[in-house]
Amino acid sequence: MQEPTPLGENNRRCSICGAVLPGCTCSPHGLHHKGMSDAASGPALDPPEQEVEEALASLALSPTGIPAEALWYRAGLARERRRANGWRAAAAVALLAAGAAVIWRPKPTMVTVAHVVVVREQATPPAVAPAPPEAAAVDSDAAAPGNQIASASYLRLRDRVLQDGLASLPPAAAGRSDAAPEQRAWPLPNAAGAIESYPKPKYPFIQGG
Amino acid sequence: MEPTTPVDVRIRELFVAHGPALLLYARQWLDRAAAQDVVQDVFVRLIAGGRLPAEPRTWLFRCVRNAAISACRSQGRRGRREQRAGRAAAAAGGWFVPRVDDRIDAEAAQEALASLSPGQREVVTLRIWSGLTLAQVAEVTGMPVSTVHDQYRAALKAVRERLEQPCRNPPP
Repeated sequence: MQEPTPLGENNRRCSICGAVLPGCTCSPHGLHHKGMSDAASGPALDPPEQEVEEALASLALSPTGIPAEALWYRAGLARERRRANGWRAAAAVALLAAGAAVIWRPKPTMVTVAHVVVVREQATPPAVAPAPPEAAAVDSDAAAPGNQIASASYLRLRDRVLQDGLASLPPAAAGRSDAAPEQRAWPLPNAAGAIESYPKPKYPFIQGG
Repeated sequence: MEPTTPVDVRIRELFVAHGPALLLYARQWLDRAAAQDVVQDVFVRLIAGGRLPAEPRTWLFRCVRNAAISACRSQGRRGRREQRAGRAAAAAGGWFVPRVDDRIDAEAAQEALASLSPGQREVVTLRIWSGLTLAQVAEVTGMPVSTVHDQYRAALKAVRERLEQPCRNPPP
């Protein structure tokens, strides 16, 4: 866009069309615009009015008296103040958001957490519910330390004897004389002591027989 | 702060080219010191904004006009000041710098302009020393273009009649 220059400078312009006055062919200026319907156009200036206009335009304006350094200094201050205001606004918004979060934070609610408890198997057997007397007797025998293996083999042997008779006894236990006294099953080397060392059977028919 | 960006350089050019005209325009409502403050504030705002409007010259004059009228109103004596601003201009500092090759006397021209109505004086100031077209003057002042033109012609006629009056104090 062409910007008209002030009339006080070298290139003065027509008051109507804005054309540079030395090159403007209309005399008086604006006469060629009379037929236009543009609102900017209007009655042309008379020569006396043009003369006054040009005389006024020839006057030199007094300087502003505003030092450019002061102007740019103030502008720099204003620009930096505007930036600082931006940071202040951001800090204020953040502060408000933090305050709102503290004020309107959600209340703690009861939360049911399902815990899975893993209990490792312990070395000692857990307590067993009360069993029948026979089972309790067996268990008490088995629970004796050091006699578990012997009790098991004795019980198996006993059950076999009770079921099949003495024939079910192993040959060595039946009286082989070359076997070591400790290895012979029957008769035991110190049968009285061994029988005493065995846990007492709880079966009533054994105790009775 | 120094103008480094193209926008700042352009603003400096605008300040150098149109600063005196803006000051003269602001002095239609204010005295010289207040007019300087207004012009300076407008340029500071433009520089701090960091961008140029679409039509910088029209924007500057419109902003100066608004700021000057606002400052005048804030002082609460707008009507009297508008009439008095022109008359008191000579005492507060001339509008023009007298030169030997002037076609008319600067002081006489100032007195003639000061005798105009505020509207006429505003139109003449914008048209002659700001280089605005009549359409731009209408945009700045908010008046219709035809009204601006009528005001302009009436102002030129009044100035001419004033300048053609014989001197009341002829030299001895």
